[in-house]
This record gives sequence, structure tokens and C-alpha cells, in this order.
Amino acid sequence: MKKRTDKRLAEGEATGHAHVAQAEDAEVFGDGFERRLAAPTGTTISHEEHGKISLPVGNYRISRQREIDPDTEEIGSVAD
Amino acid sequence: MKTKIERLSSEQEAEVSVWRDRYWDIGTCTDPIDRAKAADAISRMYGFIGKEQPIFVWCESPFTSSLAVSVLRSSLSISLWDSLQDSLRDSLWDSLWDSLSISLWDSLSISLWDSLWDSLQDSLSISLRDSLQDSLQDSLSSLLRSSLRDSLRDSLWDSLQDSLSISLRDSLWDSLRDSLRDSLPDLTVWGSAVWWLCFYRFCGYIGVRYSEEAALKLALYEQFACSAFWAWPYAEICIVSARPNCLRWTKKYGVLHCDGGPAVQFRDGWTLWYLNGVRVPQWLAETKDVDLAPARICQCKNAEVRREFVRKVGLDRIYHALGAMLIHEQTVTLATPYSEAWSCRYRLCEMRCGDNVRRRVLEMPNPSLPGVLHVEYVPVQCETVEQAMNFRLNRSEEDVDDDAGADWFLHGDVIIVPEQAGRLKRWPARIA
Repeated sequence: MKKRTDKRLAEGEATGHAHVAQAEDAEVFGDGFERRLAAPTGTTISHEEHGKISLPVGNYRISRQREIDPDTEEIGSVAD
Repeated sequence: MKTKIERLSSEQEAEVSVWRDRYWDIGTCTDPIDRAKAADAISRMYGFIGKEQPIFVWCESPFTSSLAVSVLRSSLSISLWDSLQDSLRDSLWDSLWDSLSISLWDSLSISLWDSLWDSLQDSLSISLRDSLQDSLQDSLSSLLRSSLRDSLRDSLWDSLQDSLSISLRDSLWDSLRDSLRDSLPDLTVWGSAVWWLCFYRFCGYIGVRYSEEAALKLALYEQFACSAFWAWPYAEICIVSARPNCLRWTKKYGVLHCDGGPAVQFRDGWTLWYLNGVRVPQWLAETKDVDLAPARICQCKNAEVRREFVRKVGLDRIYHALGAMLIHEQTVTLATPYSEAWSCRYRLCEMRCGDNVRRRVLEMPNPSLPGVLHVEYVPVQCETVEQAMNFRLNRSEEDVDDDAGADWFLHGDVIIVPEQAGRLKRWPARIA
């Protein structure tokens, strides 16, 4: 997975807002809905609308919650 | 050696809000473009990196600016385009802004104590940045690509639908889409990026001394910010967008919002509708809440747009109109950034929008926006809140272990799970 320079875990289509790892040494990898976060000293995650949360030291899998389209019954990641 | 500035005088403290308001006004200005001032600022920026004054292409919006870039690209040979593109963005950025920021940063670190620095950033920059960069710039730039593609696709399809076969249409669309995706540039010079200008200029006001060159570059940036909106600099050509003629916000330093009309409009007609910072379709922004048919919730495929629909119409009215049935409910206590014991009520309901499609939704409050509710679709086979959550998290009941499972986190719709975790606790260790 390619390292991201923006440290974004995810971004919203309708708002342009993003979930971003704040720690200087945090690294985010990947595109799309599946990403990886390396936080060797822990990190906070920020977003324009959500309160910040603190993550302990560790490596994390990042994914999005799922939703079903009742019209087509297709299952996909929540579009926001 | 010069003494560091440790604290603001009372007079300077009183000026903080004045300066912040001044730059808010610059960043949200809806006056027509001042071409002479913008051209002068950009030409002198080009001069700093040893480039001749470019030919200016003046556009009324970022949308037509992007079109201009695409047309330019398609009308030039690849080699000519490459030479035009020729990393001017990188040159401009590297030579001008990177060196500028290093120089400004150095001046500040010599002159300001860290505590004052942090406090000034908080009081001067954060609110401006949150509104102008996050709400305006980021949303417009991400929107530009999809909006431009959609418009071209629609007009192309409209004109071709009667005369071309589907396969030909598809291949034309594919090639157009690919060409646009490749040709749309990154936006590089922002008239509305005034939040950092405000910070550095205020520091100059309280006594931080910048080098002559840094001060001049700052002044040029401000001259541009006071005269135009965005610019796309290329070798020999610079495309410049005028400012919008309408910008509406929830409040000063808030988010884009207008219930009843457009929130962003440019003079060429490019119009955007926002409710509470969420870009929504025209009908949702402009229709009165009492005139919105609750069944239109089915048209809101995007979760944030649906949230705004629910906020505007009211969930009780939607449930009542659509004959919603409560399937299951559960209240759990979760930790949020604001409370270690937030009571979160999930409700699993089923409603119909008059089309015989069963729509089962998991309703939940937003832990960060009091009073805001989300409804998100889950399969009709879900009978309990826990089953609905398992579906949303893409896990089965066997993956849940409340005793020995790993902690995980939920930030909006983003699931954050330790990489080596096997089983997980049922509910997140923290939610925001």
C-alpha cells in the first residue's frame, strides 16, 4: 500500500471533510475504503465535525461501515 | 539579541478579533474580480521564479477554469502541453511558498514564545481555516472533478443519445472521463487561503520582523487574495477564477449553509447548495421543509445528505408518513470525546416509501452533533440492533467477544481496528 502524505483515513464526498491522523510520526497507507494506520506513539484522529479520539500505540486496519441499498440490495461502504 | 515576544499587550489582544474579522471578510468577499491587481500579483510571483508574465485566461468560476484547462489541454499537442505544464506548479510552490514559509517560520521562532505562538494560531487561524479551507476550499476542489465530469457526461449523453449506439457512447464517455481525470490540475493558489496570511500578518503587526523578500511575497499573496479567487499557474499561461457572487454560511466562522437557496454561486451560474456544510441537491435546499415529501428520503443515497434530509424534515414526520415500525431498540453506554458515559439509543425500524420496497434502517444519534440523527440502511433480515451493527461492521456474531476481544474505535463511519486483532468487543472503546 502506498503511503499517503495527507494522513487521511477517509474523506467525505458531500462535505470535503476528512478523518486525519494527527501525530507527527503516524503514517497512513492505501486508497479507497481500506487503509492502514501505523501509530508508533499513538495518535489522535480529527475530523471537522467529530470530536477527536485518541488511539493507543499500534497498527490499525481502517475500513468503513457498510450499508445496503434497499432498491438494488447492493452492499457497499457508506457513502458520505 | 532581540527579546522574544512573550505575551500580547492589552491593545494587541483587543486587535486579535479585529484582524480575524478582517481576513474573514477577505476570504468571503464576493466582489467582482480585480483583474489588474490579480495580474500584477501573479506576474510578480512568476518574476520571483524567473518566469515571464503569463498570458491570463480569466474565468468566472473554478468550474469554467477547469473547463479552460481541459480545453487547453485537448487543443494542444501532448509535448506542448507537457512543456506548458512543465512543473510550474512545483516551481511556484517550491520557490515561492516553501521558501516563504521557511522564512516566515524562522522569523516567528526567533521572535515568539511557543505559548504565544500556539495561542495566536488558535485565536487567529483555526476558525478561519476551519471555515474557509475545510468548508469552502476542500469541498469545492473535491467537487470540481465530479461536477465537471457529470456535466460533460450529461450534455454529451444528451446530444448523443439518439444517434449513437450504447457501446460508442460508453467508449466516448470513458475516454472523456479518463482525459478529464488526467487533465484537471491541482488547485494551487488560493485566494481564500487567508487563514495563514492572517496569522503571519498579525505577527508582523506585533513586532515579528520578516526579511524584505518574505514580506514582499506575503504582500503579493495578500494582493492576490484581495482581488481574485483561485489561480492555475502554468508556464506562459495562468488561468484565474473570479470570486463567487454569493456565499452563505451558518454563521461567521461557520460552515456553508443556506436553507431556501444556493449557498455558493458564481457569476457564470455555477451554483452549489449546502445545508450545514453538506453539499445537497437543489431540491433539498430550496424546498420548504413542510413541502418536502417524506418519501424523498429514498432519493438520498449519500448518508450525509440523508442526515440533512432527516434534520430538515424531522424523523418523526418521516416515520409517521412512511408507516415505520419499530423492530428493536437498544440503549448502550459508550465513551465519547465529551463523555465517558454517553447514553446512545439505537433503533431498528422498517419503513416503506410507497414502492413496496422494505427499507430497514438503523437509527442512531450523532455523538458529536447533539440532536442530529442518522438512519442507515441494513438488510431486512436484521432483527436486532446487534445484528444490524454486525452487518454494518462486516462481522459475524462469532467475531464478538466482550471478555477477551480487542478494543476498537468508531470515528463517524470509519472503523479503526488493531491490525492483529482477532475477536473484538461488541461496542467501540470510544466513538465520535
